[in-house]
Amino acid sequence: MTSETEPTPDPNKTERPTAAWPAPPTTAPASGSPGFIRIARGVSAAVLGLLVPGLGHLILGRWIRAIILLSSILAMFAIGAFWMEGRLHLPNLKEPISFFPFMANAGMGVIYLACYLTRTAFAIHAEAPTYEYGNTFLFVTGLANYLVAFDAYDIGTGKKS
Amino acid sequence: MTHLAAMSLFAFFIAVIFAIVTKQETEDQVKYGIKVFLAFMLIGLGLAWVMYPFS
Repeated sequence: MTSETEPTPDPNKTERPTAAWPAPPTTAPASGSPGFIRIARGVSAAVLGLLVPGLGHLILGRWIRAIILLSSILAMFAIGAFWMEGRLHLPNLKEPISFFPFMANAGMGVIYLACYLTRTAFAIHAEAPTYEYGNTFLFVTGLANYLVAFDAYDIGTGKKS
Repeated sequence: MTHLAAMSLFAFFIAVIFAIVTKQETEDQVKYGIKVFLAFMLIGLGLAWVMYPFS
């Protein structure tokens, strides 16, 4: 028995069941969606920040932060490499543990690359009293730049202001 | 360069970077930077004092 309020299904009309057929997309394609743009902006800021310390913040318009971060990182690098006579590290496949200091140093991006191409700060000055201090400064400088790049990513994606 | 000078420079620059990365407002950044700098210095001096009898 059929009640009067329930509509009788029309056998000639085929309706899509709502559960099985999702609604057509009303937003723009993925490549132009705001989420994609945010992530692309964050990734590009992080990559640029890894290459040049502070550049990620600069392209996001945080130029005061960029200048302070660049100054601090460059100062730590200069103190560690030239004043304290620390050295940068290269990876050595025969000694896998050398990968860790290399990764820490490589966080400097193009500065590390420039030093590698000019063979600057790769010499070992173990006789210098501040040699180990200089190494520590150079490790922490690269690691701090990773942190700065992550910060640029967060700002680019809108997680931070 | 003395140990204290090296530690002070290290603490200063890391405090600046930490403050800028972790805090948004300028006032918060200054407060947090001072706090991190003092923490580095006090912990360093405290550990040095603890280790001194064994040196």
